[in-house]
Amino acid sequence: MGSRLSTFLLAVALGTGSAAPAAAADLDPAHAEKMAAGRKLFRDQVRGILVKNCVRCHGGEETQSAFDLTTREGLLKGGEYEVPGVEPGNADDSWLYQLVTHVEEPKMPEEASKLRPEQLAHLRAWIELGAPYDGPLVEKAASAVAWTEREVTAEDRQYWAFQPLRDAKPPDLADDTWSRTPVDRFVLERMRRDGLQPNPSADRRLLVRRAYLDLIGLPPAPEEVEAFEQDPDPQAYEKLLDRLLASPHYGERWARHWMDVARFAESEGGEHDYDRKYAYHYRDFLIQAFNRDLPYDQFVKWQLAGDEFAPQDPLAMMATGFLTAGTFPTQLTEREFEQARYDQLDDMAGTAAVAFLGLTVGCARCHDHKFDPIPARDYYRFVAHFTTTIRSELQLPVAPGGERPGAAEQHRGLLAQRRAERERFEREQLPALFQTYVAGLGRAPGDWELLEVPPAGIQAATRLAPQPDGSLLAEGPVPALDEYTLTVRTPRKGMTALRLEALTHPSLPRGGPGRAPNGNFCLGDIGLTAAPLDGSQPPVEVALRDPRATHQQNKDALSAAASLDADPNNTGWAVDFGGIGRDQAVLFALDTPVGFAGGTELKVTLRFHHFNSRHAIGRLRLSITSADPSTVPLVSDRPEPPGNVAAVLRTLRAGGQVDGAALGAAQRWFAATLPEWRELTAAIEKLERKQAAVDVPTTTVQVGSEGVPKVKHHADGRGYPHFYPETYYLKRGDPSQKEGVAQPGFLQILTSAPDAERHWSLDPPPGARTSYRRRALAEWMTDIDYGAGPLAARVMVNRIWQQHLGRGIVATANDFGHQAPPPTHPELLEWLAADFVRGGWRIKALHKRIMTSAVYLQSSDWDAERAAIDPENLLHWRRSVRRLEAEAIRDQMLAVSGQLDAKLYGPGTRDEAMRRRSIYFFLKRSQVPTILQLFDLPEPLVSQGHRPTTTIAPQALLFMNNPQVRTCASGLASRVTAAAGPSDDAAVAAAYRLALGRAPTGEELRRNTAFLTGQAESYRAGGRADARELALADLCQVMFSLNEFVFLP
Amino acid sequence: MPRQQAVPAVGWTRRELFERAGMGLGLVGLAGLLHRQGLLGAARAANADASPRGGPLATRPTHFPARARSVIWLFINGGPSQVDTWDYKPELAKWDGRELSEFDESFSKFTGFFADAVGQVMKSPFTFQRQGQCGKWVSSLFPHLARHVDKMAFIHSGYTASNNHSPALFMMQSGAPRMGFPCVGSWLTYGLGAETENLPAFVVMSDPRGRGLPKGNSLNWSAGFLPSIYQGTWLKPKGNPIDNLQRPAHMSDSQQRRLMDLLQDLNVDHARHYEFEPELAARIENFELAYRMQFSAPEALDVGAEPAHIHQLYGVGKPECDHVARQCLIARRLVERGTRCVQIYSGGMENQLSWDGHNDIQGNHAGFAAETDQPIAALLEDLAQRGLLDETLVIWGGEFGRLPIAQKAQKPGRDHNPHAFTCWLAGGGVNGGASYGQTDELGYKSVVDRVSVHDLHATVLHLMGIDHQRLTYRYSGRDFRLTDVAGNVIDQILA
Repeated sequence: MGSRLSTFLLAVALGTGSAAPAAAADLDPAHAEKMAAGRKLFRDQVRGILVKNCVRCHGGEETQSAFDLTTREGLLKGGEYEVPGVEPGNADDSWLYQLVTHVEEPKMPEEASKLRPEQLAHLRAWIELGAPYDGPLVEKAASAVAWTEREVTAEDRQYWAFQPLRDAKPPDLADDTWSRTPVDRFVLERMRRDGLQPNPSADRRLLVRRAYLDLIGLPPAPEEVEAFEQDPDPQAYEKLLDRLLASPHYGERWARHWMDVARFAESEGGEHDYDRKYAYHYRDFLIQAFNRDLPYDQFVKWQLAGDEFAPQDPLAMMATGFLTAGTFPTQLTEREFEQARYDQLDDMAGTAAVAFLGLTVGCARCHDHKFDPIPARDYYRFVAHFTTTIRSELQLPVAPGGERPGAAEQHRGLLAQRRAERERFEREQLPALFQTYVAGLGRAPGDWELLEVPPAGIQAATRLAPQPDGSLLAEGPVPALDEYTLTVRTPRKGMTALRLEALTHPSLPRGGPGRAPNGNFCLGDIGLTAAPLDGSQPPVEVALRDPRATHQQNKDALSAAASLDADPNNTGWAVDFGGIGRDQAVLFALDTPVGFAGGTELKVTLRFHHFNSRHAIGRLRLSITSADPSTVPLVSDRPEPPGNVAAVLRTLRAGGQVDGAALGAAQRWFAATLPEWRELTAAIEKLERKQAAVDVPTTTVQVGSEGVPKVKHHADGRGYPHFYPETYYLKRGDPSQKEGVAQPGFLQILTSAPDAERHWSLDPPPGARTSYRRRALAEWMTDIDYGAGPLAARVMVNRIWQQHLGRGIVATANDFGHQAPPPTHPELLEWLAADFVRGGWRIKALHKRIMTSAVYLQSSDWDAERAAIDPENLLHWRRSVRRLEAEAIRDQMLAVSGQLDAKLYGPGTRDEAMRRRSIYFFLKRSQVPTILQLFDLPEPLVSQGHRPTTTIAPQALLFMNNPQVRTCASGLASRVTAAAGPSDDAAVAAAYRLALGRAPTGEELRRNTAFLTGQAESYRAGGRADARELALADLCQVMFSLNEFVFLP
Repeated sequence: MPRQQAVPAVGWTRRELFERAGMGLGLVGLAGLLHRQGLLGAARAANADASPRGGPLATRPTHFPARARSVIWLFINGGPSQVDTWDYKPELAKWDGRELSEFDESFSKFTGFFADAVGQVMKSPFTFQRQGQCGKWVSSLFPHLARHVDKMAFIHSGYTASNNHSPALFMMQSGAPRMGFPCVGSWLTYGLGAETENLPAFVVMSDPRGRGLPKGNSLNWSAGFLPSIYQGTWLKPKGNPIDNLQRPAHMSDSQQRRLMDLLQDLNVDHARHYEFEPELAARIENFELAYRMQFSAPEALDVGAEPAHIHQLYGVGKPECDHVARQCLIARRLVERGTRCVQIYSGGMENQLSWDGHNDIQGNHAGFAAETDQPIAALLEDLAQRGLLDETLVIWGGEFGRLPIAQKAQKPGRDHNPHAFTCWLAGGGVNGGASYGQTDELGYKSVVDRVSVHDLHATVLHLMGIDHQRLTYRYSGRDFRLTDVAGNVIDQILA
């Protein structure tokens, strides 16, 4: 559909461009007469035809493609493709007519037979008469979006979660010896209302284990337990927290919690579940963000719009991985394109709302939200922020996490060697070769004068490096879209044609000459201005005509002529199908000869904005001639010197003297024409590029952004557009029932700015690649005074509380709407949220707030009387015992077995035997590692605010039989043997100390040594030489299987 | 849900218990265990004894008497052609070679998957004969199944949401044409619990001939937003079918038992200090369960234990159908032992790897029919002989149907058709020999008594004793159902 439509657009653009002003200037004298005749024809014939065949889908029950022809206004406006439905007075150029005559796709009426010839004739005549209506075809409801008019009322705003943050005061309590912090006073006050008393603090051995596993997800080493137990410093616990919060492992632990919320995984899901190889950078962003204590408001902003807030900061770009971490189908038919894109928008917007605001806006996709004051109208306006956001992969200066040491040295050596070879060639052979060349010059060299563009004259998104042969080589990351502006001065007069060469180079894909992955380029537009050097007149546009190229991809949309047509973006000169890997050139005749007395400044603009992104020329050279454009050869058979060199050569040929610098320049140019020198240079340049990569590494990073290259999709061949320029209101969520364009907007219920929407809306700066819509959304999301900030703060504070205490103050961390159970401690939630915001949204400070409280420190001792009052411990009269998560169980086994590989960051692996922390598993949606799956890792399909904790037999089977568990057991056994020697008593004591951080009781010692003896005997009886090692590993496997190992009191 | 009122013994909310407690938890068994260990006072033990069995997989009451206890779903993967299997269309021969748009002007080249290979109406390459008491016309593809038509109730008027495998598969599995929703087997185990503690409740078997998984892989047996214990257990076609079921090679049973005894002793000692933490006790019980599963699961999967005449009946050892024969036998052994839901995929991914006969519909369907005809017929017969068919619901069907026109290819195939498919149900509560709904004369669209996928799901749940409107799960702020906001039970196929 793409190319057909764009050709059509082009035709229309050209048509209206030339005809419209004339039509406006002199109205057809017979206008009124024609309109009257047209109206009669409409009444008699056309209305019936349209009503019977078209209106049901276009303005009646549905408004497909947003093309509503129930009124003339709608007909003229056209649909989503922004092509007018008719061109009044010109049936052949009218879209409607082309569709019904089946000149264009989709043939209309769809899935029905073609209109009869006489019906077509009526339509034709009617359009020729100006396509007038005598009234709308159907009577419509007053508002097209009547289905989504739920009012957000003042009463709706009374709901606690939608209120501004309140300044809650910690209660003053009499006889309070328990409270340590304001947090405790809220909790104790609530307990007292129900006649409850809290537990005292747990012992230090337990506290250190609790703090370690809670903050970094790893157990304390026995020495650390002992040191903490014996630390006399009254600040020992605070210092412990500070140490843990400073540990890089802290980020690994808390990033994992957020990954559940962000439905993060590293594959597409769906049919093929292809890997997303570069998605892991989002995980690395999370780890770094937590470790750096990135303020939470910034954390939110970067995930929504890091590419708009700080595009130069790789970390901000990595954060946008959040946007498109969701699943996406890999096989789509044409009919599913739009639905799939709306699903993706729903995933982006819905996840953002759930993650940051605890609001299930997705419920309002088909109708106004049933429970919360979110009209469907708000949903679509919210979604519209993401309209043009797509998944992309960019080269960013990020350490990939896998550099090989020594590689840099090796490169440096090779590079030096090749450079020496080239110098020798230049010293020993070049002068003689040059002399021979000059002697052989029979006539003034070439008809073309190369224009050497000075560095100051180069403007482009990419780096264009001047080459010795006068060409410019594009280097570095390939931007999606590019525009080269080249400014050069020349004394020449009477210039008749400009030549652009697109040249090959080994650094380019398939040798170039283009930068696209297949070596192609597409020059969408070329412009030339000329100005006198003396400034006596402003620059004039020089029209270009009669292009001639060595090769062109086809004769229309990708021809040389297409670079001069009215579409500067999507048609242009390209050279695939025979031209890849070969030097190419195109000549443009100048409309009139150019050249000012006193010299001319030429400015050439080359535009590469094709929808197939990254289609810029990789190496190019400009030349000018004064010869006849129609006969001058496009490429001469001899190397052509640039202007300054040509002058030197003429002088030398005539026996004149030139200075050393000029001679050197001429020799350098000449060298570049020699294959030997070029080969050496190419090798050097290749090594230099590698060197640069070693010195300043760049890595491919998956991001969510706009105006960037899209990630390849299976359905690209079918024309899948990846995004549609507008988001529509969809009745019942159905893309075939469009109800007008939704402009970006914010949830009314969380908006109180006096200037409303305009408060956050931003116009993108000139030249911006993105729409700045998400940036506005992020500003609103974190705006404490007029936006959603209060709710965002409450939601995050609640998430952190939930992780520390086992359940949220609001039990449903992902839903703060009316369906959520009310907060157990509303005042505490307000106080914590306000404190969080006041302190600069610092998560580490929040951890300390919670973890230094008496409520966090208390023991898990149970009490029947208090349990009778509050069996679920909603009021925190004790600490609830919790099973560790999958990752913490596995990481703990690795840690105590001494096998943990603590390397941070970088690509993950699916190898279940890997020894890095579990967060570095490559998360393929269809193949989640067994241990994570067994221990309740939620399927990473949608945001999850809370993990269930199930107890099922296959978990026990894992502890009994899993090879990785066994490997860890053997590892722990080795540590035990190293610490304890051959004594069974000492071995059991060491195993307890290493695995559980404590000494065994007498009973435990007795049971374990008896087992060790009996089990070793049994293996010995079976003829095993390693009987004791096996028995000891069995014992270590028991340590891992203990409830004490996996439950944290 | 009535179950919501069930309040467990030790002070957990239903939801918490649900999320925390274990497979077959056994507050009962556990109470016994702890009682033996002297951990519980007599009063609390009595309370526990009287309480309903807890845990997410504990058997739960149905909404009304169930007609079937288990489901065996033969997933005819890739989309079987209705007009070449069970939906006999004599008119096709008369229309052979003509344009389908002449018959139905709504047909467009985008109806199927390939817009550039649209051919003319094509008669079935197979012959049809009347079979059974009910006189059902059956394709020559199914000589064995033809003998069982009086056990089957046919739905001829199915239609679905997409002309593309993955969305249609998800629709059939989960009622939504998108990934991320719980599938039927998950809803069933969530709603009914498990009947046995020793075997997985929801088992999936995929193509063992290296032809891949159905489009969407494991998402086809995903628990979606339900807790992950409700997802299907996929029996790996190669190697050990279930992870971690074999004890380490160096260890004998008695050596493992000794290890278990130490573990249990230590854990029970530990639990004395936390007698009020049911999770700890549940975990102790689960180690015993796991220990038993090491024996019971391989036993259930051991087809070799069946006598020779059963092997012969299913076609074990026959090159064309040995693999499906074994899967069907395993399915019978599993439901016999209390597995709730078994799904067997015939065929792998797409095109010639499954029933997705874009090319050579004749060869494609003949091949996959030969793989499945005898084993499935044997399954019906075997279940019936054992009296198990009355309580087992057997389903045969794919994700959509196929077009009555040819898809142009070296040998003509048929393209996807979301407008019509046929499936059949047999066994518990099903009115054998019934046929429900009709397609048009060419089998292109369902026209009489149309059946949506939601209707089919509602009917399956109904047969299992569940009111599809009352089986809900609260997620993301609202109550979700397998049947979304639709679904009507098809009373006409109920016995």
